[in-house]
Amino acid sequence: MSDTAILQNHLFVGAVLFALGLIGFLVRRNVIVMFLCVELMLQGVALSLVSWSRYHGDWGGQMLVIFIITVAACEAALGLALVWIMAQRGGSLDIAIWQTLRERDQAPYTDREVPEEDRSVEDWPQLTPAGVEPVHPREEDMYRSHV
Amino acid sequence: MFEAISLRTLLILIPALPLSGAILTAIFGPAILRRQSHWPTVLGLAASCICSLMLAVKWQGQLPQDGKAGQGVEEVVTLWEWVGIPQAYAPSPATGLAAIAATENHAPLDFRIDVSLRIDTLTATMLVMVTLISTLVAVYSVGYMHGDEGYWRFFSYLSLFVFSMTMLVTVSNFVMLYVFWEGVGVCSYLLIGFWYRNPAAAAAGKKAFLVNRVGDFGFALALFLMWMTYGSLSFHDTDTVAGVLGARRFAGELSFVGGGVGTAICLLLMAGACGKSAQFPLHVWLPDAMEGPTPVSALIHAATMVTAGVYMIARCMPLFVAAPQAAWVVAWIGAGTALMAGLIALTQFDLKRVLAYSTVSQLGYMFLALGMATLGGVTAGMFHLFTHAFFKALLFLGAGSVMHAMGNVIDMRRFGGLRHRLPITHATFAIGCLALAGIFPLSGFWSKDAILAAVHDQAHATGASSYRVLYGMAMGTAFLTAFYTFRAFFMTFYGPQRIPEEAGHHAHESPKVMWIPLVVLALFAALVGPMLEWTHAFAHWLQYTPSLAMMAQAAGATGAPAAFHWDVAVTSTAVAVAGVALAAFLYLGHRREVAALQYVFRFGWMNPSEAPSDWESASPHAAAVANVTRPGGHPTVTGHCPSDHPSGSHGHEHGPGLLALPARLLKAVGCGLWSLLTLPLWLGQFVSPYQMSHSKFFVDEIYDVLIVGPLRGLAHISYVLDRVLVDGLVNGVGGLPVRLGGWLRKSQRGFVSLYGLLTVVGMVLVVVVSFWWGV
Amino acid sequence: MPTSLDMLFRMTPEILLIVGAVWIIVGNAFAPQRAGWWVMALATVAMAGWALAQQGMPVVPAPSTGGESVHVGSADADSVVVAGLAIHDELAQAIRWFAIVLAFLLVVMASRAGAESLFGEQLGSILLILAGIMIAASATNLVLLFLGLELVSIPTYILLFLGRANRQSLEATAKYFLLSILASAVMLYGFSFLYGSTGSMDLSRISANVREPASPLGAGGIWTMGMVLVLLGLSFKLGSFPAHFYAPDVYEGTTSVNAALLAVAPKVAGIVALVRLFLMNSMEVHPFLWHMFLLLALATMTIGNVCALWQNNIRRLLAYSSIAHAGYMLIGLAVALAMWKTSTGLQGASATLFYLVVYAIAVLGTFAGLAYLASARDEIQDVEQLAGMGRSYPVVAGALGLLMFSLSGIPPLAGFWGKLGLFASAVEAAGVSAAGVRSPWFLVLVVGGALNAAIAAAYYLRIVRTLFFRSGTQQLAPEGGSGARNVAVFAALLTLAVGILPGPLLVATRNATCGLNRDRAPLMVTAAPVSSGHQDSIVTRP
Repeated sequence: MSDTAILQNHLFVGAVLFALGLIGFLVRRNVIVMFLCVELMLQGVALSLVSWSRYHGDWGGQMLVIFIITVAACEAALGLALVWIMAQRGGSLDIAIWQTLRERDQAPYTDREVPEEDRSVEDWPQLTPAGVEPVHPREEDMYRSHV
Repeated sequence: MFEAISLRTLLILIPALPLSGAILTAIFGPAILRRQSHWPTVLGLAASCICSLMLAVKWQGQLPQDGKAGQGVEEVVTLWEWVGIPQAYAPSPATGLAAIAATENHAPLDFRIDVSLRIDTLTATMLVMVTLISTLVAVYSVGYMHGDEGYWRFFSYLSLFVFSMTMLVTVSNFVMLYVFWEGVGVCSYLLIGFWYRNPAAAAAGKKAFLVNRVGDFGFALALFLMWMTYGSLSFHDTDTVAGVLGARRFAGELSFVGGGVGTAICLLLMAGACGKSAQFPLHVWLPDAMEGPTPVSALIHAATMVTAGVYMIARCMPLFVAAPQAAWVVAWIGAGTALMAGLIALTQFDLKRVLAYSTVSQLGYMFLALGMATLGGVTAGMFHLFTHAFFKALLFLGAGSVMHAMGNVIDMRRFGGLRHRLPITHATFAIGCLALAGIFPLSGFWSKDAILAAVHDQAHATGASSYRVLYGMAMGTAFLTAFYTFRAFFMTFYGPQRIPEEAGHHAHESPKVMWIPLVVLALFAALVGPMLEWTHAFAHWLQYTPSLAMMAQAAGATGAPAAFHWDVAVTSTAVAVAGVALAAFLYLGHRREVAALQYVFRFGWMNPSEAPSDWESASPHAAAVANVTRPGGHPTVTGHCPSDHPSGSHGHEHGPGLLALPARLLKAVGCGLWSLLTLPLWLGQFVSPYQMSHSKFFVDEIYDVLIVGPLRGLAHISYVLDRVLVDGLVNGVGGLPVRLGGWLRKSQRGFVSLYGLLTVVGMVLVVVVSFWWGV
Repeated sequence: MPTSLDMLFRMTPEILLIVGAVWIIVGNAFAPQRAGWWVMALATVAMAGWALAQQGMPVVPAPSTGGESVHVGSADADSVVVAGLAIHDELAQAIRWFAIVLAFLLVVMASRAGAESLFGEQLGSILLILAGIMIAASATNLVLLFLGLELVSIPTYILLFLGRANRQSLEATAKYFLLSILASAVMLYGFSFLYGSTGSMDLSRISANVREPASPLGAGGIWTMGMVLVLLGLSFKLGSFPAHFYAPDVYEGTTSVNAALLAVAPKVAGIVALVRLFLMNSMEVHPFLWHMFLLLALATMTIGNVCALWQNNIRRLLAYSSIAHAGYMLIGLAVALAMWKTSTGLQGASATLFYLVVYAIAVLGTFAGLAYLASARDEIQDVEQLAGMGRSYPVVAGALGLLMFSLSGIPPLAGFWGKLGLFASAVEAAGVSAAGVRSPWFLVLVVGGALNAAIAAAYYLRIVRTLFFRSGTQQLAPEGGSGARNVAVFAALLTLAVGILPGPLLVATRNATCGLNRDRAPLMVTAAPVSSGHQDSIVTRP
């Protein structure tokens, strides 16, 4: 495959990631998912940058990707703290409950009513049951390559 | 010490001292100085006056002593550059090549306004006059304004006025002249409306301001035209540009512009001068300005500010020489105003208004003299300005003294015979009246005679009949002046003593601080004329002014600017004496005015059956009121307060026998003059000549009908249009953004996903529209 | 290595700010007290200013004798210092100085902001944001530009949340955060296209659209697309049309001090980034781009102004007004983009900078006044709450009134000169038909701008009327601290001073932009070959 063709494929995947992220941001109402969608967009950006970098034989793009990841990590730290407080204050992760700041005589935007939650049960998120440790021979550990 | 102070220092000090006085009074007056607020002003003005005198003396020493005529001497002190726009104007060859040196190489001209002060004999004269009189008036005001609640305000304004006036006569640039021209206008406005709670005073201030704006508009246009034509607005030559009145122009290197443009400039300048100096048709504000405090009337509206127009025309005399038609118009305006104002003054009962019309009339005299556009005319006009300032200030301050004693009553019908109550005022007022009437040997005689001589000379030199008519008008005015002056004098100080009840216990001579300035002014009014004119010293001194030097050259080396003509002097004195005699006849002893006027002006002498019936008992007050209120009717003769006419005074009564003939002759002459002037209106029998005069020729009413009324109607129409049409339109259009906003803000519903979606849609929209547009 | 040391020296102000900020944030965790950290922050700003002063290159020339003459292009090429990825030309120095001033004002203004225990975080975030502006202003490389912009954004999230511990503040933070990272992603995607089309991270090469090796996927298209995406991403920072929606909600939800920062810092960073990206020395005229700027300018100012007419909440109103002002600034950029390399283009760019400075000072002062009047528990919300302030607090009310007049562009004040410069440049652009510009559209822009200015006057004057001609019904207890009041008064005086004597600032902005259009070849900052692993940049000036 020629360089150009590889570049095109990479760019296409990057664009798809970016578009998926964008669509996800627009249609999902869970704050965490929205944040992750933006991360997905950033991954699309990163992919295209890296592919351009590879195509040009230049390290600039890769450098930018490193910084993007770093910055995204900072943002993730902040964003998750924010999400946590929002969940604590609002009792829900639905972004639609945060509409009190708006034009004074406009109705809040609702495309669909938020489904009623069963408040009787405190339904905190839980880790999936870890289950029983799968059986595997002890010696297998010894053969595993060091990751 | 005297030698150590340079001209430059003096020139700066003269306006700076009053300015600092004004500022100090304004800062410390209201809280600290209070009743002592006059000190900064009085001291500042006195110091300024001393500086002016020193300046004049020093300047005298710098004049060339060889006495050769036609040598202009000036010195200009440039303080700083106020405005500088490089290469502001590239004159086209069509705008008068000869006037602008720069067009020779077609270089664009810089627009530059320097704050520069100048000294020449004209400025020195004005400075001495302004500061001297204002100092005296300030001293007088200490007594006159005593106890007024705006005491500090008055003195602050007064100082500010003197600052503006001294700057006006000192600056060497037309724009600066305009600035301070407006500056004195503002001070005048503030002082006319000083008692602003009085609606009449407020209205008078407004009227003065507005009428002056009409003239100033012309002045501004003149400046624009001058800049276009001469490429400079400076009097003197600067490094790069030849000034409008600069030495290069006087040396004949560059010319003055005549023809249509030159005449237009001069006429527009004259419009400005007419506004400030109260000439017809813009004279209407000055009599109303008498609503201000009397010292203000004396200083601003008689002696100094109103002469600014005369000063300006004298300064611009070379322009008028280049445009003789404009000078001719100036002469006619002056003579017409002089005569008209004199006629109006005949019948006024308000003492200050008589003096105000007399001021208008005398200013008309000065304009007439300037309109001769000869050296003799200009020096005579300026000399009259100088002497008039003293005796008119004296008369006004005297009137103020009377007012002070009479409890602010100024109607001459309500007091009389005050000569025993106010001896000093009486004596000084008499000197002022004699001077104003032009009786030998007081100042007024000399200056008026100089004007008449100048007109006489011009009439002879040109042989034009129009100058003869002007001469006649001036002579007539001289008669009227003498008459109305002494009418006022006799009505106030002679006859049976009457004191209005408002006077209360005030009816006595004014305090020392008020009568001492009167005495000083009386000395000046008496002596200035003979001292300065006996040897033509004033004219000789003045002709070193650059603006006049050129005319002096033209007049030749004869040296005598205006020869003394015995025939003119004798005639004018005779006429003046006749005026005084007529006033004495009509007012001394018994007041015959109403009946006499009845008889004369209703043409009773043509119809014996209408012979005057009851001369003695005709009370001027009642009869005049009746005459005015019932046009065309006979005066209602009422038995007035008997104390006004003690029977003992009947003894002076002479029958019509002895004096009848001259009186009748005079009346006939007067009547002929009247009927000529008022023919159109008189023919309709709507009003009598007496009423014409008493109502000031209905100028105010005519303005009301012709200008104010239509304007008011127009204002009302535009108000209605504005409310209905424009407001409707604006409100309709103005609602559009609001509606748009109402629509747009529907997107702001606080939902993050919606914002994201709208952002993406917006991006796509922008990109699509931009692409589509680019293609 | 001399170059590294030199670079370190050039970046001292930023380093000082960041170190100081970190010190304050960490130290505050152990010693939560107001006064000490406040003084420390001021000292940090002062030190950064001192360090900046060491670098010379005064932005405002010494007052010349002539007075009117503007030194166009007087800066010589030698005065430009390239330090690594940063370039310290006239524009960078001007914005860095301005950032120091802003930092000073913001710190003074925030003297009583937020909770006591979190005060250090507040100050530290402010310092970091201003350091971000300084970095973005001097970036000559996409990486550094990105970092600078993110250094503006990330502390802003913290700051917004620190405002007040209530639901509204939280909501505002969430909205700002989510939309901001979305915009960042869009901008980064644009960066990737720019990089791809030119093969370089260097701004001067990107703006020159140097395609070497030629991009395989449609030569100009990718570059243009990158530019468009960057513009749209930056429009969030500017608060201009497609991404302006957050502004009213966020301004309403947060404190006045934070709103001031939001109205100023991202705008400065965004404008300077736009100038850097779009207006470099060798920029070609791209009709498509200036069309887009023109459209954005018209749409932004119209939306901002017409929506502001409806507002009763003062901070919402000011948010819309800040949107409108972003639109005005885009006018100058549109002119600059259309007429680049002519004096008109230069005029447009410098007018934008002038407007930016004037707007920033005025809006900072306005929010400072509001912050001063706020009580300890709640901010000023409604315009009506300002009624009668003219009598109760004449100094602050007078300052607010003056600033309102300036923002609406009433003549003797600085805002008038700003609008005048922008409109004048657009009128000039309408008159000159160079480089294929369809000039009448600039006339449309000017007319639209003038109409907008007229609309804007309505709501600004409503505030003035409420301040001075309405009697107050409720008593406010101004507890915002004297610092906020002093900033408001200072800003008002500055606005007045610039209004009376606009000359020095005009000259300064003109000088700041003339470096962009200097007649010199683009700076080539070429990275050394990848294989060598040698990271030092070599500056060549062909």
